Amino acid sequence: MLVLTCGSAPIFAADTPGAAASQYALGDQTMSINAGLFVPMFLLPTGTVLLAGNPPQLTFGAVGSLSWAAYVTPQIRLGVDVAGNFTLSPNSNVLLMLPFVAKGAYVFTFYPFELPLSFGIGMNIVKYVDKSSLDLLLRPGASFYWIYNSSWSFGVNLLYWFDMQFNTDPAKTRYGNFLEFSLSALYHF
Amino acid sequence: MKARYLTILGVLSLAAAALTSCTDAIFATIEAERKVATNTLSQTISVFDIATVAPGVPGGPYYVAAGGVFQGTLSAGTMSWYPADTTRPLNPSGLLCNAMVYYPSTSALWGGFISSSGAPGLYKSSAGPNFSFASRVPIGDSAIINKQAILLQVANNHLFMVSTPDTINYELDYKADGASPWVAGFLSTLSKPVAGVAWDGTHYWAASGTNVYRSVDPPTTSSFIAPPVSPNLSGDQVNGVFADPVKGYAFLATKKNGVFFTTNGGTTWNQITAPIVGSATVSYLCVAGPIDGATSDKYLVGSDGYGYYTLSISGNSLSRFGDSTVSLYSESVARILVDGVNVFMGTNANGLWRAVFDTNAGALASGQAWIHE
Repeated sequence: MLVLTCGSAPIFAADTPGAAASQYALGDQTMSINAGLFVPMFLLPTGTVLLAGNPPQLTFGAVGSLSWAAYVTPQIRLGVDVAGNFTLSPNSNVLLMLPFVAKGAYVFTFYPFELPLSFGIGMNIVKYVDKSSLDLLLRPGASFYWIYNSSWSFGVNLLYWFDMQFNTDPAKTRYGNFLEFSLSALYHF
Repeated sequence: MKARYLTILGVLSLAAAALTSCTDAIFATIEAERKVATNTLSQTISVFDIATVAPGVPGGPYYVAAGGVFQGTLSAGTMSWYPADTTRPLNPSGLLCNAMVYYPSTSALWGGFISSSGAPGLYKSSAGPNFSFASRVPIGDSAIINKQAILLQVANNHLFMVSTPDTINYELDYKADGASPWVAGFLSTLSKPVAGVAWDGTHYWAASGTNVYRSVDPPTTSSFIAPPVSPNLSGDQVNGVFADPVKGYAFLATKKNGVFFTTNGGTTWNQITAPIVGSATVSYLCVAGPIDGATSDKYLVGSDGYGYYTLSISGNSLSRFGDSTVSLYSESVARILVDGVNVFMGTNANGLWRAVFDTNAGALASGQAWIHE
């Protein structure tokens, strides 16, 4: 569906301003809604591969988020987003994450496409059975959007979640590494 | 403008870093989590009783009353259960089992059964080694006929039955040995069922609601009276009674006030208050043990919704089973059977669990894990 949608861009694109130049400026804002696949990868420093084994330590999961940003220059937008995801453990316990992230993005525009490279930092509320944790989250990533019109863009996100879970017992400190593949609808206003 | 946004980002980052100082080791917990092994018993049965046919000779066979009667045989560390389905071949036809005990004097299992229409019956199984209630007829003793057995317990080689003759009142009935007739009404017209009967080596113990009873040996219809001192159970309810005849300890598991135990026949009581989990007071259902062999310092206590606790006599403390990744952690443990190193826990609606304990440490043996039978 996404391929068909993007492939038909020249036919259906409603606005066709000049190539490569961003059509947005200081004060323009965006809201996006995102949903997709959450992929547990590995834990550091132990190197535990989370998808290994049968059953795996964590299964593939689902992720969703809402994001707001404002342009500070035609290429740079800053904002925040709130996300939520879940995965399952070997005993079907649910690992929940609810991050609040401040992020910035540099947007490359190749009309009718744009490629925002982003970096987010924030806190990640993690809940698991009777345990909870507030982690530091770094989240670099890239997105690829097809600009449908001056208001709407549709695309995909690939985000790397680096979750730093410190513990007073250093032997229990872990750094979680996850990937997010999500579809995105972006609204400009 | 850029500086303002960068400042905001910086403040948010610092706040995030500060907040990360309070954390549970979730990833390390998940890293260590192992899938619970399962067996053929349904994981949603409610276990009313767990019986071992040869008490003191660890290895069983074991019988579980959970509507159906299930026979378990332990071999090379693995239980084999019969039946492996819900056909109930060991039950009298059409009846459900809600109470069961092995009574050595009769070399048979005794079971309380009830039909879908509510007709009760007390049954004695066929002879071993493979005990069965199938094709058996109900006990016809006039003292207990038509009374629904709620609980069957053996204490000091006597058989006690908690029953309800009319579904309103409860009573305690008694059978001295295999040949003796039943004697009804050791305790009678009780508003709450007797939560258990136990023998501490000198006295019998029983409890109903907030009332605690003690009896000399041999018991008579008037011998169950209050102990020298009764624990303060105002507004509470005793859910389980247990005694260790070797050490002479007696235990009361209560709904609101934790666990009471006496080491001197009820002259004085020790109370281990119930912990608060979240905003709820932990309610206890049963006590069993000891699990540390001859030391007899550690006993297991089943809770209503918080798994099981280990009671330490010397520490006067209760500590909760700590592995929250295993669902037993948050289940209601209504029955516990300690048979040497083998420990069974029967839950309300979450099946039967088994583990091998280290009786020196009084804890799960090294490398062992709970199995959801």
